[in-house]
Amino acid sequence: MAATTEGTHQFRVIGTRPIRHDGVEKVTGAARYGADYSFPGMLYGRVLRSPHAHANIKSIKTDKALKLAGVKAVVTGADLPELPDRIEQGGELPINLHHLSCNILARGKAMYDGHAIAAVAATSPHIAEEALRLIEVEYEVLPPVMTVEDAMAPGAPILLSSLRNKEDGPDKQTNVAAHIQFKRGDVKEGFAKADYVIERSFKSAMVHQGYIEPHNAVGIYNSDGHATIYCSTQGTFVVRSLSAAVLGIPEGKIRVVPAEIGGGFGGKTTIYLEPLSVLLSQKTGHPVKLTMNRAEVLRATGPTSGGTIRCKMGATKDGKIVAAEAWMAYEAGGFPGSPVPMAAMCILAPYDIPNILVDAYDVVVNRPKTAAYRAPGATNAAFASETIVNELASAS
Amino acid sequence: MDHKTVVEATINGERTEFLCEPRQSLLEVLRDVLGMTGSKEGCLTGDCGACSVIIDGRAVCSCLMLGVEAEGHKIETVEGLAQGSKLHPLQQKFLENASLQCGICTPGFLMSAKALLDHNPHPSEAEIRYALAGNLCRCTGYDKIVHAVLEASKSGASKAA
Repeated sequence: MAATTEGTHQFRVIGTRPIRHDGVEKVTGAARYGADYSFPGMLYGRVLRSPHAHANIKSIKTDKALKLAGVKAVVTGADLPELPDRIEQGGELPINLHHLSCNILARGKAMYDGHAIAAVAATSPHIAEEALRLIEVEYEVLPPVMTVEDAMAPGAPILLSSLRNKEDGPDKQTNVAAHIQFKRGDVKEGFAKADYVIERSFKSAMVHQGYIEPHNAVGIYNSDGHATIYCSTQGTFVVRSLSAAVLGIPEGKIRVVPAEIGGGFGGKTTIYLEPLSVLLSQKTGHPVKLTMNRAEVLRATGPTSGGTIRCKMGATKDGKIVAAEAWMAYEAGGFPGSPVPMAAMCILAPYDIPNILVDAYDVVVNRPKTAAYRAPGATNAAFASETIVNELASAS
Repeated sequence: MDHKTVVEATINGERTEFLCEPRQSLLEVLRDVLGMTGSKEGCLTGDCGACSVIIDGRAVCSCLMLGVEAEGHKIETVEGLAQGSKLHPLQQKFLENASLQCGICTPGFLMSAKALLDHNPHPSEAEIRYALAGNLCRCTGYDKIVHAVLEASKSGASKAA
């Protein structure tokens, strides 16, 4: 491409309009996304998902599904190793391995409508779909807790029996996974100095990243203990380390081949189908392809948090913001780990304010476990603080 | 198990025979039976347009059509747009206008756009936007796609031209 710049400098690249290097494959349909891979003898997998937002799983019977012609394997949480309550680096956000594994396949409790309960591999996606209907799950349906207010209310149903936070200590069951606080100066004194004080409450809904390409994974397990995963992902190495942890096999025995990705926006920085594809391949001796349909993507993969923010800001007549306070509670979904820590950092970050108090809460609710969504947590936070700054700017 | 049927159709100008079960969609046939993975699966409910193909000159969501319904019909997919290594003007204009990022929606947009230009060689911008309304894109914001189709129409991309 010729450089066509004006001015005194001639640049080799800046100012040119290069054709993207992956463009021709994409406009001819030759580019290979995760779902485009196929291998000889490949089976198709499907995941059975909870229809209940909150339920104890009393039993899972898979024998009828296994008897259906064409079904080669059925797996549940019992087929995965138990992982310790340990934090690992997972893409943009830290991850608790035990919770991650429970999100991949439920252990004794369905935490949201869409939570994976079992997975099957069969000779066609249609047979796999039929097999799901033959899996018998006995649920004890529990009252769902859908908002941060309901989850934080005294006497709220406890969603994760082992969840504790540092503040409340080891003996208090809670739905609040974490309380983060940022403090500077004295907000009471600061507000007393302000000529204008504006306080507002904001509610935001969970929003899905909405990538056009659903999640996918093709897993190939070799009898020598090595596995290969083909998938669309934002982080090949994260898929490897998290899948290795969930499956209980050494990282060095997994090779992850990143396919072209049909959009991620943060939502494909974690794993859902990848370890299942390897597990089913291990059980069947065949490559296994798993994909989600759109309904599954929206029910069961991580959106960004909805939640509540109460924000108060005070400014003097000469335009200086002297005090600001924020109370933020974000939905983590069925397992802890909302982006509220980053939201707490971002909400007042652009401003030079001498007196600050931010209290932020990571709250478990019966919704899909949240995942990163471009500028995790900060968009909701900015909505709150910037709305108030706008009002302050025209206050008089 | 449903017994498979032999279906005969013309795909990208070639007479083709394939075997499929009655319950398999045309999208599934293209991708899993014929290995033509250019048409993409985005929703399986006909809402996103990523699976768009052209049937007898008309843009259709292949996820909403059964493979057996293809019998005797003419099917065009993204794989048939280029002539060897010579890109179709629509493909060329998409590249020049940066009308794609992740590219998953691109085959569907190209087929919807071709269906439009084959019937309406010089559409207005509004006509283009309406014709492409059944295709969703999460990356580009649509403007560059519309621009590419406009440019392609000016460069004589229409079959009817």
